[in-house]
Amino acid sequence: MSEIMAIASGTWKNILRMKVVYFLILCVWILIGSAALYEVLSMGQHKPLMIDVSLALNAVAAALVVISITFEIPRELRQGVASTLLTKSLGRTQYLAGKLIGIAFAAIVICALITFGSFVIFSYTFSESIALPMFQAQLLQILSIIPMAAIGIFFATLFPEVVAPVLTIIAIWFSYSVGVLKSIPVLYGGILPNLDLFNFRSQAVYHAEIPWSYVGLVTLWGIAFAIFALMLTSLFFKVKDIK
Amino acid sequence: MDSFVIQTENLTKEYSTWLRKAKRPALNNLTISIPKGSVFGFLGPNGAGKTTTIKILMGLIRPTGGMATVLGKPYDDVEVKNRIGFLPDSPAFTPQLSAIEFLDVCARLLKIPSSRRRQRVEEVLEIVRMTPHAKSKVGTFSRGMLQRVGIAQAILNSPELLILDEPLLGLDPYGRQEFKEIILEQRDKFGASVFFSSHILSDVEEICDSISILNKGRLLCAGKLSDLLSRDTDNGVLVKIRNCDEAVRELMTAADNVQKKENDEWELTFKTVSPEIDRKINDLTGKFGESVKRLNAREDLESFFFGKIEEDNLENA
Amino acid sequence: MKKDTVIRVVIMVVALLAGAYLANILTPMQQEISKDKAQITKAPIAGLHKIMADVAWMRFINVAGGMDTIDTKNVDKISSMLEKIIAYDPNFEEMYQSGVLCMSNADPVKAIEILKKACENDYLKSNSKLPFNAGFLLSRTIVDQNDPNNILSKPDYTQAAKYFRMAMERSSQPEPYVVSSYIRAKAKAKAEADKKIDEYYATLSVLYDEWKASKKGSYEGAIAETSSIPDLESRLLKAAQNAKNPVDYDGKPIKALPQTLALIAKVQKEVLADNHLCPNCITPTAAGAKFCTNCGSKVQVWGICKTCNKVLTGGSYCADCGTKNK
Repeated sequence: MSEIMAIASGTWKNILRMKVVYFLILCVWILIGSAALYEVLSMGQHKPLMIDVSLALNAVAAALVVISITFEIPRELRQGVASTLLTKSLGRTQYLAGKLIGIAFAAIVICALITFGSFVIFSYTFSESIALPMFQAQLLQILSIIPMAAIGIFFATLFPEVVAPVLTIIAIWFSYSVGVLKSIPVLYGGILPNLDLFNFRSQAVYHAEIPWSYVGLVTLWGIAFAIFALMLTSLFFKVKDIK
Repeated sequence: MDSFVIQTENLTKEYSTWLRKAKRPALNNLTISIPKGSVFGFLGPNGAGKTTTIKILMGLIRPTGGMATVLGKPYDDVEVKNRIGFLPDSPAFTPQLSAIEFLDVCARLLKIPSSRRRQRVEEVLEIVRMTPHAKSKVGTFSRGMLQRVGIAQAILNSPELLILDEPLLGLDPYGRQEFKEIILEQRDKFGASVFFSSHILSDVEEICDSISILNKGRLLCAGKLSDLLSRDTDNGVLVKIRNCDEAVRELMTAADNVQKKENDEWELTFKTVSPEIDRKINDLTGKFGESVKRLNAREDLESFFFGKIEEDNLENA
Repeated sequence: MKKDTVIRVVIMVVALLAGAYLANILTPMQQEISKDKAQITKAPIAGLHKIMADVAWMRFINVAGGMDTIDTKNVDKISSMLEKIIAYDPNFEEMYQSGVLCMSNADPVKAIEILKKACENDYLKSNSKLPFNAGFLLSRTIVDQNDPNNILSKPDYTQAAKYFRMAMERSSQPEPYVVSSYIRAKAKAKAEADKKIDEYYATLSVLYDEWKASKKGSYEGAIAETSSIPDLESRLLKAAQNAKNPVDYDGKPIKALPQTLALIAKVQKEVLADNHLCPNCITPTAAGAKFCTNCGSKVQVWGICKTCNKVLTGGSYCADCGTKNK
């Protein structure tokens, strides 16, 4: 576990020290705040608009962090950072697990910052407290990073940096979009990821509470899927030659 | 207790890609044994299979044939890596971390207890003269500085075996000298065995006691450096002169190779010795005593290396 | 296969089964929590439905705001934009309230259809404006602005009454105009169905039926205090008064139908018995009055002391002679 955490801490420090991350957060805050200006254009719908914008941009930010990692891991493998680490007493699965935890933690911190900022902007703009469904919707958005990071790791490990981000975007898009396969839970939610399970953006606007039991179960699903994806990745990564 | 730190037997690696199924051999039935306590130079031109061998030994790539053991364990054993220090050919580290943080990550991976970790990291940074840059981000480092951090992470665990791929690349002459001292110190103080590949043959000749030469994935020769280079050249003579300018002036023009060493020491090589030169050398040794020494000349590593490679290329042309 | 590979495969299969099991539980849970998911578009837009609805809404405002008028020529564009918003977010309240009304004069059938769906939406079940708007459109004759001979929709009072009723029930204190609209629509529906009756009779009978229905829930004969229609008795009184003295469309008095008079008598007897009304014009009479102040008819005196005949001012005893009156 110590080895996994060593890799994880190196990974999240590496991400969270990039200046571009804070530029991204600042841009998102500005965009969320600008929703307040749409009162006339939206016929008084600027309040729900701000909630929607904060959730949508948080999802985009999470996806961007995961996608940035699909550049980072192949580069780490190509440039030799990974080979330096893997020649220590570190299994390849541990390396992947450390990367997954590191990426997920960094993305969670980034999304939590965006969420916090959006709540402050919302409260300040509308002089309202944050409703529980708004918090729950953002929380689920943040938790969706766990399976999303596992998808990113899968493609980043097995494909070169030119292909991996594209495949990751398609996979994330697909896993949020395809509701048709929901009737086959073993396939969709088992083997294939179902990120739509974390999508409660309407609930935030319509103030419909989500049972905490659902939040707990969907977190477990996220972890189960991440473990599945991680083990699948490690089966391929184990036999991969590291240049 | 094994007397060899590395042993390979018919180690073979062939590369193939998804699109191109034709196999390209990178290593062909390599069989070597590296004795414990030795400083072993692994030589060969580009593409000879040196890095491939090292990566197999470090478990980074899988051989397509043969076997390899490192410190008596299979090459892919994870635990044995706690006893090995490895420096890749072009070291790269997590760019946003400082040198001290990256080494801390490495120390944690090497299971160095947390109580000793910080102290050990500072020690190795001092050894590689990187203390002033300890808190700078690795991403801002020059090639030489990266090499120093690479060396630091390789010796972090006071390893029993150091595997170094082109360790002197990118270092300035001072750096090279320091690094050679570090290698020898690891051997002398901690009894570490050293296995390293290099293109800088003079350095290999200086610090290695054994070498092997690889070409196109095949082993051409291996053994103690002194044994491999001990063949006399045809009547060749090596004259070492210390603090005696007059003797240097007398012999310089007739010598085939003249090298000025440190402390006003000169080495003059005569591939063939005419009776006149022979008499002159004998006169000078008689006149200046210990300041002028006559030795049998041996072939230098560079000539030996090129000779072997050209010979192999001709045989397999 | 090596031992560590076997371990990996076992963990992977266990995680897969656990994920599938959890997905099996979560999918119906999610459908239960957010019922609108079943209605939203299946277009692959990565779960960004709500923000897409907002963007489509602002685009709609921009397009509709730029039009001089919304008529049969351009209503299809507006209609398709609104349908797109519904496909992204079937709970978009403002869109139903403002957006649909924009097109109601040009395509009332479509507008009613959309509003009907909105009324069935669970998220909007507390919204009383949507069924009112649906009822309002259903109770109107709407003609094409460009061609007055082209009737776009005719009233359907039965349906209108249903939606007005829904609007009333969704509000704890329904607005008087909503109640009036309901009674009017229901009465018109009744009058349409039975050609032998007029609207006076129909209105009175609607209110009487409501009164009867409200009594059904009574316990041991106690009169129910609540009804969907507030001030039901005063409305019945007003309706009875109107029915007693009906007028035509020009305001000229006409003769009340016999069945109307019979119903008025029934209402007077059953509903308004305690109201001390003039038997001729059904105007409430004051305590101690001997004649109706409205029509001059003789009325039964009430509210006087049984001993001294003075008007009782309240309480149980006469303020003048002190006799206890029940």
